[in-house]
Amino acid sequence: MKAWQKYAAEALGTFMLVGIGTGAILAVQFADQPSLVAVSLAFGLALITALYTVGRVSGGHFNPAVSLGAFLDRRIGLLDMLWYWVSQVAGALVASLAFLWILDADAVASTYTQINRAVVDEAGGFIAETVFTMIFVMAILVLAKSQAHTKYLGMGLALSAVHFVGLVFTGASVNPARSFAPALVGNTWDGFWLFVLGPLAGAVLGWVLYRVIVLGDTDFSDDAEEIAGAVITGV
Amino acid sequence: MKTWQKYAAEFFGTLVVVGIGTGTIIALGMSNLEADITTVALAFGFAWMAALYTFGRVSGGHFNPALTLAVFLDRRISATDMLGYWVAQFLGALGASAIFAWVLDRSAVATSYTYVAEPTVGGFSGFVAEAIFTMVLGAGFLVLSKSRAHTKYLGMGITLSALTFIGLRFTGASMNPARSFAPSIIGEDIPQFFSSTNQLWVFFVGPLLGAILGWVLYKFVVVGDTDLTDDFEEIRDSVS
Repeated sequence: MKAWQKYAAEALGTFMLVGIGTGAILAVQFADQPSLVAVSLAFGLALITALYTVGRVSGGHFNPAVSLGAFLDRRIGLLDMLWYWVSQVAGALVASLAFLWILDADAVASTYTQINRAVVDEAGGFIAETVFTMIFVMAILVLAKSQAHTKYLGMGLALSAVHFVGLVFTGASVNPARSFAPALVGNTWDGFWLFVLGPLAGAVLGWVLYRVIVLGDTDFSDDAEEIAGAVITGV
Repeated sequence: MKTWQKYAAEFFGTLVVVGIGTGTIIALGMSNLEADITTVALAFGFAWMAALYTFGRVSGGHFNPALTLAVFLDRRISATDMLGYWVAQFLGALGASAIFAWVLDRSAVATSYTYVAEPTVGGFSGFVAEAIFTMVLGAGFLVLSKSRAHTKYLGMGITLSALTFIGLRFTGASMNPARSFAPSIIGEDIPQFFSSTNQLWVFFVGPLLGAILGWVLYKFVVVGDTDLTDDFEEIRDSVS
């Protein structure tokens, strides 16, 4: 697989995920049928669709937090992670720009992950995003190693699961690219930091728990050395 | 697989299932959306699938003391492991409810308890319902967990969703003592085993009896073994 193919796959997959997921938020608004089930299934099924389309090309992250988890587990290099991030943000932006073109900026802003301040403050939202992403990234790290054709179903259902619980509280981002695109295009930045730091912290915790519980590896000194080596040499 | 790894997997798996499942109930209560059976049923099923795909290979993926009992009765785990799993599961469920009490408050946690729908369903009929739901869940789990297919976890999650669809309005569709115990003790000051609002006994005795019935059903119908005297002897030996 050529490197540009992987980056193109990440951009296309993130476009599908963010386009279908945030599009479903718009759709239930226009239909005046607010529904946790519709949006949760839309995000999960969109991820499944994108994974079955280009999962074999890039590994199917479509999410900077997942790429961070894959990098920490040394499944991709540092440069690849950075290019994945750029591709993912580009793909998400195309999705939000498409809605800006078809609808307007207010509509795009309404697809942002709005923290529910009546229920949680920013610290609570940060904890929530961290825990949701931790759960999601752990499942991804295990499933990505599987050879089974059904592994993509498990990944999508895991994303739906965290949306069921998270939508009401924080919009269940678990994905900095998914929050950044509507924030930039719709110009709405309320609590934006927690949708970057929460998922990234969750990816680190998810990777640690994966190493400890699933692999039974409690000695992180070799892992830390390898990661530091990758960061210093840039590969 | 090391023993502590299994217990850790049961702890975090139960935290994920109870966290996502009861969290969805709390979320619906805090939104202006109607309480929706489909949302909660799919949330519990999908949460179990996610936890199973993450930890299933490590511990077997019970995340439920009743299922652990069924697995023990079939002599797939030892009595010591059963007790270790139980402790891990209760701690995991308590961890999930504690997170919601921390980020939100205890009254929010109380809304995620499994309330028996009085007066439509009384305490005793709630107990019977929980036993039957858990019997179906346990029998399905015993069959599926023997499979080598990667899709077996989908079957387990779908079973839990199906039973939650029917049970949610009547008893809260617990089928899991840890799932009911955690919101009970963290959502209220004292768990009330026999009060009319919080009949915790239903969610201990019902699922545990259901697990025994589910195992018997599995032995009879699936395995075709109608003579359980040898099984009882082996179980007695493993306890002592």
